[in-house]
Amino acid sequence: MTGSGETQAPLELDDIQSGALHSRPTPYAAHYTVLRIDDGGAGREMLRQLLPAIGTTSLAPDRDQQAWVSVGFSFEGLKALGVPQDSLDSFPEEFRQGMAARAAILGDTGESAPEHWEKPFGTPDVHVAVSALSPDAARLEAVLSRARKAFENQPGVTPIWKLDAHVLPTGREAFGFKDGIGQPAVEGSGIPGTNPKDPPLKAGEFLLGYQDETGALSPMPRPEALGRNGTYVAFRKLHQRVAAFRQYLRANSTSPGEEELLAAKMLGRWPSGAPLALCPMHDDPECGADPQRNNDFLYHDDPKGLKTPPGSHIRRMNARDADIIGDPRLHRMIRRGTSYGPPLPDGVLEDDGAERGLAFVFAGAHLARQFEFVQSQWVKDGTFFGATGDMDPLVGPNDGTTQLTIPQMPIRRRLNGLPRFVVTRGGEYFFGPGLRGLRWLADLDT
Amino acid sequence: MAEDSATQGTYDGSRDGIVSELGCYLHVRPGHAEDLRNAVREFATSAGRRGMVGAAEKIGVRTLRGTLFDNDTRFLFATTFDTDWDTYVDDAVEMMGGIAPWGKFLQYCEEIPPDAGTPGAVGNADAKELLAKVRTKAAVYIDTYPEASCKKLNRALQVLAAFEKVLDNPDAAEALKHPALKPLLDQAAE
Repeated sequence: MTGSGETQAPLELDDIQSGALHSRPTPYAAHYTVLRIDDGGAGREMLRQLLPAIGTTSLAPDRDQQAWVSVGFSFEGLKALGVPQDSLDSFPEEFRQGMAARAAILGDTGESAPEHWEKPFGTPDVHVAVSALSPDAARLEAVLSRARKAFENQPGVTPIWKLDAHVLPTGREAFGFKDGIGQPAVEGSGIPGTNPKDPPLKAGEFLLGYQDETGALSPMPRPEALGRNGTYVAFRKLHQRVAAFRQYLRANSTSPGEEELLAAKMLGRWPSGAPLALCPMHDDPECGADPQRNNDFLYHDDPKGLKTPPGSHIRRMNARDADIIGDPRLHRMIRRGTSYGPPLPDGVLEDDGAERGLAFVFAGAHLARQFEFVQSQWVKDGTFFGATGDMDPLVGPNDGTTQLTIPQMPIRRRLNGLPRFVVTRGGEYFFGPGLRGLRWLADLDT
Repeated sequence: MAEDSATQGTYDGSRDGIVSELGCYLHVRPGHAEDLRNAVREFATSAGRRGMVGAAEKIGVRTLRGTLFDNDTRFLFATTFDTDWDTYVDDAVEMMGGIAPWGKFLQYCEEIPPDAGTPGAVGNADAKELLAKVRTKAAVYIDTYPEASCKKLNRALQVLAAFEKVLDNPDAAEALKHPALKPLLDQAAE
């Protein structure tokens, strides 16, 4: 039934949190706060006060220029709020276990293992995530100040972690690439996707209670008032080893031009965002900056990956029509990355010890079928395209023994000894209810 | 029979390298053994040998078989996968036309809803739980090529065919003397 075009109930856009469907603006400013609820009544009062600050998807027509605040609850957070056991039991196992318990599936091993995570991640103290995203700092502060009133000076609710993120002066993420390009279209949302060749996905892939790509309604936790219009969120703080990345490129290249090509082959795009699929020979900043073109491609004309290597980051994250095991449409994700920390100045090859990286957010209706599948099958393995054991060259948990094959004429190139360029600093699974669900939680009488 | 009934209701199959197995041990509805035999053969025929091979590679299936046993009272539906079976079961159902084509023969088993062959009667998303309930994890599973996926094996066969063509050329012996080609020359004698 994939892409069958069957009709379904219209989306209740005024009940859906903005954070569920909206893509990240560019430029952007973002903030993340984690709260611990020590008293369920105080937590519910905090939520009542926070509700007016929560943005919904129906902020048309200039919604892409709006700032919004979103809120989500971990399983421990739902327990702390006093959600009844029958409802708690209706959440999927992976959510109930939490991200740290899923470390082996996600590739969070070695340096990325939960025992090395930044506290409070990996502990039962992570209850609520409040995030704000805006095109600029002024509008971010405007929406955040309203939200902060709800949880600051609220006895029984304690902010225990926070992170500011904002677009780097380069306009690119820390490794040096334009990001935030690929987003799927969602049926009924009115939010266009970035690839016109990619038919919209069923809303149930991202929102609970709607038909998904299997033809079924995406499973909701009980009761419907809590579950409908909700979405699951995977939040991760990912440290980027920019100096190590540059050193690797330098060690495996003989010229700056070759370094840039190698980096592009690892990502699948040039620094400007221009895709190798459309610009295989050299960067094309005009193409990279053009939202009508920079994601308008498939892979059927490049089955061997002579332009875009099958193992490159973007071809792994969305194989489009490439020959792989499985159906990519069952594993699509809404992704939003925001950079934190200072950029490493151009040309610097030595690590300055600064914390820099990406606050990564996944939003979708199926944590296991989407986020965990992508991490386990597409990020930390290559069996799906015939390269068992190979990992994503940029974000995979490489350990110095893995490789990337770069198809080229007459003889392919192979990059060996890939180190780990991205280390997980922490993360958690959250449930972002619709507004009715938030009110249901706030009105709990326990 | 190598089985471990304590694993019914769970997902993980026995593994050898990247390959995992799924074995469903079902009971044949009384009087329907012949219906089941015909239906499962029709399933294989309708998919077609080449069609099945192509589909198998797309969904990660290495082998698939259906066996009636115990005087036609039981049915074994067994498959092996490149990867874990449960990871790709949703993809497999979607890409093989939904659950109904499988339901057309499985419906003759007591553990499967009798209308499973009717499109829409059983949701595609229910396949995983349905199979988990009737599967039994093998006590041991061995694959001859545990680290090679079907895609890798197909690639190896393509490269072998190309190498054989090279060897058929009378100039191959001279060409393979280049030091860079020594690993190929080492394989050229047989």
